[in-house]
Amino acid sequence: MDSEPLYIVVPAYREAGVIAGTVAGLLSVCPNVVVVDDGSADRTADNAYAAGAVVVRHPVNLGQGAALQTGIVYALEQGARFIATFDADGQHRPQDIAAMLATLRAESLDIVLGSRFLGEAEHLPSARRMVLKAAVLFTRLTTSLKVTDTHNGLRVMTADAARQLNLVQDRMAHASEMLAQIAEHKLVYKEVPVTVSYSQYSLQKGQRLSGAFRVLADLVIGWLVR
Amino acid sequence: MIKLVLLSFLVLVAIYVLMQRSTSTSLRIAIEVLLVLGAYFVVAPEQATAVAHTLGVGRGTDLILYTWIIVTFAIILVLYLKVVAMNRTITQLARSLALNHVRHPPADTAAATPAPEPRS
Repeated sequence: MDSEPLYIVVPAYREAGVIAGTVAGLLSVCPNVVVVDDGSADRTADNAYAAGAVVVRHPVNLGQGAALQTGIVYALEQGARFIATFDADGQHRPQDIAAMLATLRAESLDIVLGSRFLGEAEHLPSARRMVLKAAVLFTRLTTSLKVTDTHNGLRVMTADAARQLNLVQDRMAHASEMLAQIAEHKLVYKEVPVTVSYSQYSLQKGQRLSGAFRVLADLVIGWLVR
Repeated sequence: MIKLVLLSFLVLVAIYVLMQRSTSTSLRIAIEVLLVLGAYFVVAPEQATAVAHTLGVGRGTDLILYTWIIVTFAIILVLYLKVVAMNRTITQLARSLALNHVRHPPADTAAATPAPEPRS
């Protein structure tokens, strides 16, 4: 692994209570864990550091998209060969990364995307499911990608693919933006089933329906500013 | 009296726009043309009504109101796009700041791999 290092990027905002557990889980599968603290006022950065992660800290809160991009830039600077993205709230399973990386290498893909709808979505409320399905429909209409889960934080990509991504959507529209760029650069992708566990905590942190409209507005504005 | 107040205000705006070196020449000319048109309607309001009639609007006042609404929305949109562009600049600044203050874990924690190179 040393010659082809994997870096795991974990964007985190106000996750002081759970970040240490997430980092510990990730360190058991990979030594390079980068937590990007998105300007949290709580002890997210300190707790991540104490748990053994590299900590990059935004001086102000910018949004999850900005945090992901920062983490990707850092990993590339460190000479990463593969980069994974992972949500801070503990909804993903660290062991899924190894399987995704194996798929990425075995099939010479550019990026492997986790899908909760191919896999297991534990305790997913139906309202949340409908919002996610609407996002899938939107992506299929605006890009040629045939994905089943557009807003899954678990991804594994090659450094070359990561270099082609440039997320300028700072907030939650980055997930759609990333898929649009995958389509634009014709990256070879594959969705694999992953298990997403919804805890009371992750549901509380998650996006509401109103967030979907915010994403839509951000995307339209993004097209205008480009 | 009101005509004098309005006209002197328009003249002040005209001078201010002329002094804006950073604004593009075409935009400055467009604004000056609008200001001259505005001054003309201040002096001869009945002409505004005449224009309104040819456009199918009842009164000159209404025509100016409708135009004002459209212009206001255009200005809000332009300002909002500028805010978005400015936020992107802030993001880039914050990112480079963050990347220059990375906290690496002590070497023994990451014993499995060589410690990452410190950033220059």
